[in-house]
Amino acid sequence: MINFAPRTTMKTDKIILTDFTHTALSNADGVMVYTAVNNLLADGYTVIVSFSGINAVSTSFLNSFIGNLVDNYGLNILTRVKIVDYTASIANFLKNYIQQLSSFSSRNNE
Amino acid sequence: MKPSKVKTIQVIDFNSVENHVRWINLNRLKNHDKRLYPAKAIILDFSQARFLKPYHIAPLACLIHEYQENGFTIKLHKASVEMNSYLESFGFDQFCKSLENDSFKVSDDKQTFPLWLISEARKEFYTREVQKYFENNHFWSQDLFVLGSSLAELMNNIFDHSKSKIPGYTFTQYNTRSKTIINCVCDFGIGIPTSVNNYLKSIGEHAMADDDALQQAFELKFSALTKPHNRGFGWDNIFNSIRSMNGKLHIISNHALYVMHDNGKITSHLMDINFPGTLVVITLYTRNLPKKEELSDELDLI
Repeated sequence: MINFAPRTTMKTDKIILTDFTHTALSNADGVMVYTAVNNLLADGYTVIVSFSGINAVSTSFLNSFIGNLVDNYGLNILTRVKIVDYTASIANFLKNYIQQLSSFSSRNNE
Repeated sequence: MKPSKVKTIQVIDFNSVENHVRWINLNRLKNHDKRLYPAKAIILDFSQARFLKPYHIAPLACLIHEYQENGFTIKLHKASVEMNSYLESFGFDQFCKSLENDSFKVSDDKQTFPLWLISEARKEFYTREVQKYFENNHFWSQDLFVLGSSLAELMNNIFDHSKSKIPGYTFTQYNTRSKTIINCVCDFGIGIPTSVNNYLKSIGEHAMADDDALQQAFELKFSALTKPHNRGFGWDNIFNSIRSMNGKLHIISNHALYVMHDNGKITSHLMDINFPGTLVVITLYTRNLPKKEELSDELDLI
């Protein structure tokens, strides 16, 4: 189980998405990134994910990466995942996805 | 004069969806009259076609694929010089020679991206390359994220739902006159309405009319009910991305024709003819593409 330590004492580590996958488009891509991020979260890190070199993202990728994190630990786990080196389009897509995810899980909990 | 044993298919650049669908159905392999045309060959005659668009080329490729897979040879009838050079520009002549041909021909004018057989193994490669190709050749400082991400969603959708016996095809073209990028993804699968109705029947519910069933497929999380690894956000993201660029989206599947216009308005209706699969056309106006810039400040997800 991932430990939610106070943010002030958090260790931080960075991963570069393209070290794990060439694209951010498939479920398989998402699983690889999920595994890497999940391991760091389990070790108590806040994880910075660099999207440098990534030009497009799909919901399949996000389902397997962010969706799985939220399924396993709840939406708040995302306070410990930050994104850097992204385009405005990727930022909008991520925000929209998380909004969908959040309304999806709140509807399921009703 | 003896009648020809070889069937000739007149390729026509239809502007009417229903006439186009009627033409596709008429010319499919399953409607081929073996007694009338015993030769295992097809002549494609382009003499009537003037301005072919991706939504003519991608279904034509599906049609040809069916014949080729069943041992037919395909010959091209000499068309105009312009048409010949257009077809050669993206390797259509090579494609008609053999399905085995896997060459990657890039057009000299860089306005078309090669006709592409959608395969599970190479769908991400295509999505990445088509975006890069147009960004690098025409839109150096603009972001074609909308094209890449929408294509990824559509291709994932084909492998999740279409149950197509033949793979789908996709084709993308930049029209410098209308300043549009048009992409078409086409498969000859069971169609989205049929897929929705199969699911509804499997849970004991009544089937819907095709236009309502198509609309149902676009509802958030519907596909999550039919495929556990999905969450049903894919279509919503396609609509949002294209709407944000004031682009257009046409979806033709079974009897349903669904259009998102460039003002975001949606219209749909039932056609009197069945499209054998799903055909999606994305039209992007290049003047609406955003500037591409990489941001390095930390983005909080919530």
